[in-house]
Amino acid sequence: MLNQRWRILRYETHPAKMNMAIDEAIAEMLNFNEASPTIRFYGWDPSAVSIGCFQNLEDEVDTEKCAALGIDIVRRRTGGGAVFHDKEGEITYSVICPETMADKDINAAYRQICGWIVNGLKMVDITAEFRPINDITVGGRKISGSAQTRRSGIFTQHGTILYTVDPDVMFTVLKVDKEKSDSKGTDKLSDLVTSVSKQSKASKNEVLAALVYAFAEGKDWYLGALSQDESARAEAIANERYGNDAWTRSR
Amino acid sequence: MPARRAQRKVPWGKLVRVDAVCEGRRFTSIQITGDFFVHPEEALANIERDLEEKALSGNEPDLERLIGAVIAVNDALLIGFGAKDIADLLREIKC
Repeated sequence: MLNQRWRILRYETHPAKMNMAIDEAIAEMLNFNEASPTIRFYGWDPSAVSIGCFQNLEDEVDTEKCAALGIDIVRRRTGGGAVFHDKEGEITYSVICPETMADKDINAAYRQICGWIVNGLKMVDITAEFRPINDITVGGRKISGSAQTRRSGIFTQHGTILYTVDPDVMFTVLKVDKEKSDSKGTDKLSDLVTSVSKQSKASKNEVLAALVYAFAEGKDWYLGALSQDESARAEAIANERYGNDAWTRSR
Repeated sequence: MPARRAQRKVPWGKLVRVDAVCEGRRFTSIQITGDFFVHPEEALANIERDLEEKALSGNEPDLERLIGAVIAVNDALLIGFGAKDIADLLREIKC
């Protein structure tokens, strides 16, 4: 990546529609040269399910269970699979920058940023490996997944790192296709995933600090906050798109 | 006419589902869903529209090449699946 000054945002939690809208608002402001390349780590409150932009909602999510459990549902603007974002158990990241600062090759960009996550996990004594296309695994089980988009010259990659996982809730709200779980060599859904807390004694804050360190390594950066314009734009995008049922149910 | 569905988990790739409506021996509606990636994302809807306009048949001998051409015209990059997967699934649905 080019040597431009990065802004790292303080960890915050938001509802699902705001989390997705903040990424998009930052990308828009970057496109107008009104924001710095940004790395953000964040959480979800309430817990939520996000689905990839090409997924069929009803195929992937038990919407009635989500409603009963107070779990939000949001459709991302990135592809990839459905993700359960546990309020307590997950760290999510976004990397948003001009496309010129990211690897031109999509797979190489996944490899690069997933490499930062692998390095962060190594700092808390977890040996993880990048599994193309967009996953990170520990002992064959998924601990992190990412998705990437490039729009109007702006690169966005966001993804999750599982800190703790409750497979019962996760696989109650997510409908995992049997063909997919079979391809991973298991019929036990809980065998598909692992989490930091199963692999390390590090606290969530320690993991967060390790990830910030790994993402920032070799970069010129500063600790910043969203501008008022970014926050206002994010509110508008959240209401227009991510909180809009027509968008959520568009496939 | 209800949509018919076929799906596959692409080895080393993603899960792809095709829902298609047949009229006679032609596909009149095609929707492709799954956990794959398409860049740019908007291209998938255009690919579906272009495939529908071609009113393809599942017996088309050159289905994969035709789908590949539609993907190329839309300047789309598919990650985790490809024209062959869509062609195979349409053949499986078989109008």
